[in-house]
Amino acid sequence: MKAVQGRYRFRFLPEGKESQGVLPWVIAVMVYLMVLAVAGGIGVVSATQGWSSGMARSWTVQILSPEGEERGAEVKAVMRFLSEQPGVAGVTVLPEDKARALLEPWLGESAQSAELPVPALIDVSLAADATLDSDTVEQQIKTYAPSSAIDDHDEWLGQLSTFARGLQALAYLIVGLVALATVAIVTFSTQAGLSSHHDTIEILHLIGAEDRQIAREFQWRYLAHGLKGSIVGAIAGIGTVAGIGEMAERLGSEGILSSFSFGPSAWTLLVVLPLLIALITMLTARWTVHRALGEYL
Amino acid sequence: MNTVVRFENVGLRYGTGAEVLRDISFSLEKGSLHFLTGPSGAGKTSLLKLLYLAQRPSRGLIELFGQEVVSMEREGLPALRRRIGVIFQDFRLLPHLTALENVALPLRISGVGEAEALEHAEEMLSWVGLADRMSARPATLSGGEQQRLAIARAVIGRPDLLLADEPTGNVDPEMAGRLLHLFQELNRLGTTLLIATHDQHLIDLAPDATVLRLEKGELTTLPQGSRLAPIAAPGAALGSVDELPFSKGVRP
Repeated sequence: MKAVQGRYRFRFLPEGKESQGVLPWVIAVMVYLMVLAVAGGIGVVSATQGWSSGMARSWTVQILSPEGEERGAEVKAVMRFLSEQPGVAGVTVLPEDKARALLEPWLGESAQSAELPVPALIDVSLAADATLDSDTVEQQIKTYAPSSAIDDHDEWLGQLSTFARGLQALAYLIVGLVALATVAIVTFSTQAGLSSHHDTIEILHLIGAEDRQIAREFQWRYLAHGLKGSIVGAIAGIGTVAGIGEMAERLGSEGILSSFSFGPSAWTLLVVLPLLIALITMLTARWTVHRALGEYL
Repeated sequence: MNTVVRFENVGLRYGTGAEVLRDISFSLEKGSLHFLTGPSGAGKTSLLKLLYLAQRPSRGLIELFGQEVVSMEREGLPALRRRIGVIFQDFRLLPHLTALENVALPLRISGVGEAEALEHAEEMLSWVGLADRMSARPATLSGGEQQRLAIARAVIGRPDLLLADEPTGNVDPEMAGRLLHLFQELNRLGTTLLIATHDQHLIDLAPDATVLRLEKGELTTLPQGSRLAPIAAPGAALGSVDELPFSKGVRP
């Protein structure tokens, strides 16, 4: 008899025609959103880290005294003093036309006017292990140039990292909410499955099936749904993220997004997350079935 | 252990209604045959539900296979259910499974491998005369075929206790006689039988069986008889006793 030969299999439960057909797609959407949220969170953090490590290793010294010989002397003195400090890797004066160019977006043509006073700007790059305190150094250079001031970008960096942490928290919040929504959807779907299979389950129960035997049927089925949806959602999500990365790269090295990059751990997370959702789907289904069967004698 | 079923002062009520079963006390010995009769609504189905563990009684003591079941943990019940075969009045076949799979189901649930379960199911189906309907779905079978399928599923695990609710409700008198013959053979192999029926003709075919009569929730035992005497061999639809799959000792 054909039925006995080979790897013949039959399932205790019929294939569901209820909401399960839609379920993998819903899971796919969920996973897609999660991947985007996580990628956004990781991307923002890596980008701001890139900026802030560059910023933290440089100061800008401004000398506000009016242009003239006196200022030239002040600039030379300050530069000499700074380049002698341990921890200072390089000192360069920003040429006046560059300084004016920086102002142009705000002031337009008039930025080029010689009548507009522009401070002398000195870029100070610090060694990675520098321990210089900007306040102390500022006091020291004031003896050479009383009108000088150091901008160590601290305030801006603080705001940047608060902003980054906020975005990251938002990303995790989205991931959490999507996970909760997934649990809810799977619960409803399993309940629908249970009620559409009510008669079958009752018969299996009366024949002597244990709860775990019935739950097993559901849990493997839902794991399959979960995996199907997760894989589709993850591929779409990772594709989108890779596309955004590509576009960011095309903006060139000066674009803000150029430091929007993923390390191996980020890619691992993007792969693990969908698998986790598939697992959550399976466990939710299992738990729902056990809870429902607990109401039978 | 020779007492398979023991009820002592069992009462059952649903919700806050009146008791549908009152002070039910009886016991069934191993390998005995009993009929359960009584008018519709007398509580026959409720009594069977208590026996196949779909319902706990409101009061009293129930022992199955020497184990007290009223206060037994839920987790212990499936193992007992597997020793009980039930032929439901409405058959309760699984519509999505073929005839063969339906019959193999109890063995699969008991953990018998798929190939072995299907092999035994095949023998069982041949024996009840459904060899040519193995891959048919229950919905495509006639009432009588479904009945035989339900019986095959109930007996394939060679249960210690077989409960049948109106098993001859859908078949002609001749088939009823054949079914009784099947039950008699199971009985001979040590299965305890309780058959709920209105069918006086069926009861008359087994004059030595005990008849339990349920009326208005109370049980009375009619004239005694412990074992069913052999009756005339039935027609050809059912195979001979020697061909019975479970006579070779197929057990999960």
